[in-house]
Amino acid sequence: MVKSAVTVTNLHYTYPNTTTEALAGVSLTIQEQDFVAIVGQTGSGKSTLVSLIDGLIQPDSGQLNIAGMTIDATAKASQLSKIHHHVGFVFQFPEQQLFAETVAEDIAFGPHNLGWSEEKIQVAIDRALMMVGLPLELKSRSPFALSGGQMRRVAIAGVLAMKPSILILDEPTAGLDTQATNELLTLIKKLNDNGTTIIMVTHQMEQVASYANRVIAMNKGTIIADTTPQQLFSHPDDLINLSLTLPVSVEIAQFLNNKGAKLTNTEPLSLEELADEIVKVMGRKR
Amino acid sequence: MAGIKVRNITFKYPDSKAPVLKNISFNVEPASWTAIIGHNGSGKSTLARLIDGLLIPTAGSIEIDGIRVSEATLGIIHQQIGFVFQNPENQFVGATVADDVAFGLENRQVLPEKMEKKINDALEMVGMLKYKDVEPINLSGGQKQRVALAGILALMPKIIILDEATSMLDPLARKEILTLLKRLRDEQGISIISITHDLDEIELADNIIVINDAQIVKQGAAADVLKNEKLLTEIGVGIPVSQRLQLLLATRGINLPNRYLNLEELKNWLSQQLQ
Repeated sequence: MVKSAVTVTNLHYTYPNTTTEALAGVSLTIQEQDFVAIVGQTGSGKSTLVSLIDGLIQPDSGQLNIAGMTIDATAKASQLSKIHHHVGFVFQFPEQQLFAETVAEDIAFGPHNLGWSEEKIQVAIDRALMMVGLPLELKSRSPFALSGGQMRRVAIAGVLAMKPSILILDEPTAGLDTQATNELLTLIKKLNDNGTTIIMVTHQMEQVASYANRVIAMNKGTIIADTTPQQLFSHPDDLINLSLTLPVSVEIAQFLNNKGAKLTNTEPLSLEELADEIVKVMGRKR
Repeated sequence: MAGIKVRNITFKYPDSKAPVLKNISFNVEPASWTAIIGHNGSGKSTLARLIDGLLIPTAGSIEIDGIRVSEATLGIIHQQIGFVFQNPENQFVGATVADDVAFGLENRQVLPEKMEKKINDALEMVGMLKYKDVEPINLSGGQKQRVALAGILALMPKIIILDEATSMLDPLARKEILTLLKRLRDEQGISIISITHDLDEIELADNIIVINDAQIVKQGAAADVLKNEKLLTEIGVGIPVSQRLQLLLATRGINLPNRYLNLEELKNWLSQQLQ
């Protein structure tokens, strides 16, 4: 049976000193081992939603259920911090938050806050470094002596060390080159295959197409689509109204059909699918 | 319009043994776009700083519009070049977005009555005019990058150097900024040097210089360099979408034109074939 990892019911949130609701009545259920992409323009409520799921802020009204815990407007701070035993959050440009003198100390910070024993922490550090593909020799090095891509991996290792069953990532590949991007996405996919629920905020529609089984589009603090990537991309006008783009494979397919080509699959989720589709039509013409 | 001549430059940081750049030579034509690509640590950011005179080469020379870059000419050189850094945090000085853009103009002693219009025009170009009175600290990474670019555009330099300056922009904002830069090159004759690993940005360049292990391993017209899939993969940049799709079609038995097609050209070619 598929269990739900996160259930959110009619969530409202307004930031202090502002008048507009950042979240205006959001409800959704995320199943265990889902790979959910959250898309929407800056200010649409994506970051607010994931911050609530991570217990970083508390809802004004409505309710969250995470791993058997219920969080609402009356929840205590101690309840909110318990969420961190289950949910890990990789912030945007997480390497900017590295602070410790050595890589090992930096990774140990989260597990330490969870009150783990020193022995358990040491095992977790090694395991996390191996997961992100960094050599254990780096443990004693300063994180600031590493390359940008390596620093990002150390920051992610710090989150993975806590063994979250739900992992939230905010634009995890921003600023990385193609190779580092592909390596990171492969790691996230592997975590997902091994049972971790993934919630990824992204602007990169190719990543939505290739990795997510479900996509949530947000606008002005509400969810306006909760569907499969394929379904979302079949309504390009809606996306353009939201200042979102199409994955390049879909954009090419729709450009060709607008010019009179007769591709049957107008939402190819990869360039491979698009190439297959083009070959089919070219074959028919010969 | 200004061109750049780089001749046999070598650069070594005082505390390191190996040079960061070895015997680098190339030209940048006026009103052209040059992308400098390579792995992290390949020396590409150092090269940009040498062109701007922020660092002085250990050997070799750099000329901007016929003037040799040296400590004595830095004042003139900086009038010609605008440098946008990767991390705008390090560049902000003003209390508001408008103050920040004003900073460079004040340094150039632009008259106060002319300043307002220049600031507004520059912020308008990057789509940040409505954030004029906001404190820079309250902006997102991408918004900060746009303001940093506005600070340079207000000065209208002849050469703009972008060091990973679009890395934090979302895809739509990046598209807008790249279109703006293309327009500045075509209409104002501004030369652009961009240090980047963003393939969309690389595809806009007229020329590409590939740096690996402190040396230029390839330079030439973008259409030539972008065909070199092996090299692009090796340096971590990856293969442009147009090339990837052409490879996929070729392995499926489709005969493609024997020349480089960028994405627009490929789309149009496919569209004709599928009529």
